[in-house]
Amino acid sequence: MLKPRNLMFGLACLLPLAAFAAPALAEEPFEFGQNFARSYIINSYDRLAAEAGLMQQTMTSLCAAPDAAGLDRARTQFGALVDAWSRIEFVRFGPILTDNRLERILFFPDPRGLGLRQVQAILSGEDETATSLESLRAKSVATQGLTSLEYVLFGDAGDTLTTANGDFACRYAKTIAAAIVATAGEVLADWEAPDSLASELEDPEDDNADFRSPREVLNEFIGVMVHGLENIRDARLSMLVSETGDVNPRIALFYRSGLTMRALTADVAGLRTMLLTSGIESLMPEDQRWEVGSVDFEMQNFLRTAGEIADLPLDQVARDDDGQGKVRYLVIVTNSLQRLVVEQLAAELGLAAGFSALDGD
Amino acid sequence: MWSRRTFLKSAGAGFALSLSARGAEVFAATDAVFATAARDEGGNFIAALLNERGDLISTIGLPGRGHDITRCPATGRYVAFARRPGTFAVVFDPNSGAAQTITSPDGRHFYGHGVFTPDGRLMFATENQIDGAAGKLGIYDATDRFRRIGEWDTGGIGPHDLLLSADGKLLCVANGGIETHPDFGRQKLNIPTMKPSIVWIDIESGHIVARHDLPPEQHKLSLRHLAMGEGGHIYFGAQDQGDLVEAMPLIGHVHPHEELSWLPVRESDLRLLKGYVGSIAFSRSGEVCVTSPEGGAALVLDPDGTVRSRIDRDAICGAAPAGTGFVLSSGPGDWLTVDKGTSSDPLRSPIEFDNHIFASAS
Repeated sequence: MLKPRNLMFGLACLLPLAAFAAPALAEEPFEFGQNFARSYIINSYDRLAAEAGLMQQTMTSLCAAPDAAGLDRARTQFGALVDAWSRIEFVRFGPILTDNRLERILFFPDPRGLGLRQVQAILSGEDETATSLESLRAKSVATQGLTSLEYVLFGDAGDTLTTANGDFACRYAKTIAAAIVATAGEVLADWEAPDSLASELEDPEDDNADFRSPREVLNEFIGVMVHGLENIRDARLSMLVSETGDVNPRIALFYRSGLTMRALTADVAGLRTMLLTSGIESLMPEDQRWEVGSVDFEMQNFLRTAGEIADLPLDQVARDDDGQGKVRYLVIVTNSLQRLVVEQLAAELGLAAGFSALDGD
Repeated sequence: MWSRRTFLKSAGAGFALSLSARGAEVFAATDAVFATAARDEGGNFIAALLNERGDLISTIGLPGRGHDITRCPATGRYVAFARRPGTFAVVFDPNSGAAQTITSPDGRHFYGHGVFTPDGRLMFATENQIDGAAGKLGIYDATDRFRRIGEWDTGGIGPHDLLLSADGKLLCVANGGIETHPDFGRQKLNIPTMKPSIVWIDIESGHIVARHDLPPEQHKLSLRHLAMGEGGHIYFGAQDQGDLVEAMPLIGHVHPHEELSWLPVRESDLRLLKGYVGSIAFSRSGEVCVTSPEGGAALVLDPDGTVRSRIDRDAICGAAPAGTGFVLSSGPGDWLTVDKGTSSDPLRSPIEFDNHIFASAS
């Protein structure tokens, strides 16, 4: 026999745990949200903007005086820029989604090679409109981000950058760097604005547009971790692993620059820093706080193993038994991390723990 | 919903005999049967039949995670579809317990939804032609062991939910607009250029006879789930792939001879959905129910967009008409009903529910 009851009574029973409600009642900010927004997100975008600025400077120098040392410096700085991006790329809410900024910085995956063809057309046709910041930003998002810059620096055009023959390619690469500076700067500015999402995350209350309770902030944080791990497995590792040996490392992100594993490592290092600086354990029951350590332990397993193969050619990693074994292990660890986050962290925080949570269709 | 009488007529005594003692007991006392994809306590993916209260009637194992379920109006057989980018669909007969697994052809995968023609002869399933990311409707002959006999274009990328029109002459297909590729799991590949649409396809010719596109400022609203309304209107729920700075409309209705129309829902109510409608259902009393697992909320609305009830529950997603109201389910395993502004005490099931609940027409 069904027992209908007053809806409001039902809602009251379902509202957040008392522990989450407390910070919202006080004048102080919600410390977890503050850590998430300011210590992690804003700091990471700040670093991205800084590394992009260095990239632009490095390209400016290279184009002014092309030589092998300058190209080396540009390629090295590209690695630093990839690092900075990888440490924040899993934050996929808020200003990064405005005006296709995410895809402007990283257009990937691109299984049909659409972006590659557009970049090749710019290079072969010496399309001068791609060397002005304004007109490049008006072009396809696939032509103004990290994968485009990688193609120019490490692809067929790369070696011409040491001579005057590479003038057009260099100016295009310099403009791409400027576009990344602009996009990263916009994201950072939006996060730092007085009424930004950061203020909602550190002060989640009823009259906010998006984050109205500490529980919603926690849900977003857990979602970032879960989807970030899913992205690592499905879009960064899967093409390196196969039960049949049919692997395709050439479609891996940053294959040309050899930065695939380094980017992956930065992804997980970023997630780890985000977790460990969040103060999440203070919101968990005291006897369950060790679970944060379990997640950290698995993340360290990932980082150690990825580090062992980071400097090997990706083809070797994907094709030899040892490399293949390690990549498979990374997939196992990634799956384990997803389970730990959903079934332990989220569950201990009183958030949705069902298998279909956080990934509807 | 499927009345007990209809169920008995199609299932016969054999189904009741195939049930566990508890399942048979539940079945004997039930007025309606609902089907959903789920995961059991052992972590196995299943399709489950339940009554309105959420008591389990029976389950069947699936080779992987399922999504939506449909039912043949002629034979009473169910078909549980794999979640995208899965390639299986399991046909099971509640009468005999017999099951058949069909697979999408090479180079195709299912999107998780399907529908039968009124005579039960054909089944249509939304599919992805992986090479080129073209949306397809796979056509399966249900009278010949679900042999795939052809396919039609859906006129868009990422076809998701589909329904038969009220007169049975058209198929209404929601092209979500999002390109994915199995090489990259469920990653979205074309957000900057996505173009969702809803199309009406002539069930005899396969031609698109009507089409609803969105204006450029709404192109990131992935149109995904459908519910049969009144007067030939089909309601739809959208998922916003944008930055959510602006609360975009998420609920509307279409008719083959009318312009697409959005429900004028208050912004504060829309924001509860976090830009995401996971399921949509339409009740006998003319109300629309939308769920948002992202927002942990379900809303029951009048067709004028006024919210009549709100249910807050973690990972709430499944929704189907039941009586004059709705049944709802959540990821952690809650099952509840809502009707005339009141919700029932949730029944916590030992199984975890996936995104949709199927209730056949009475």
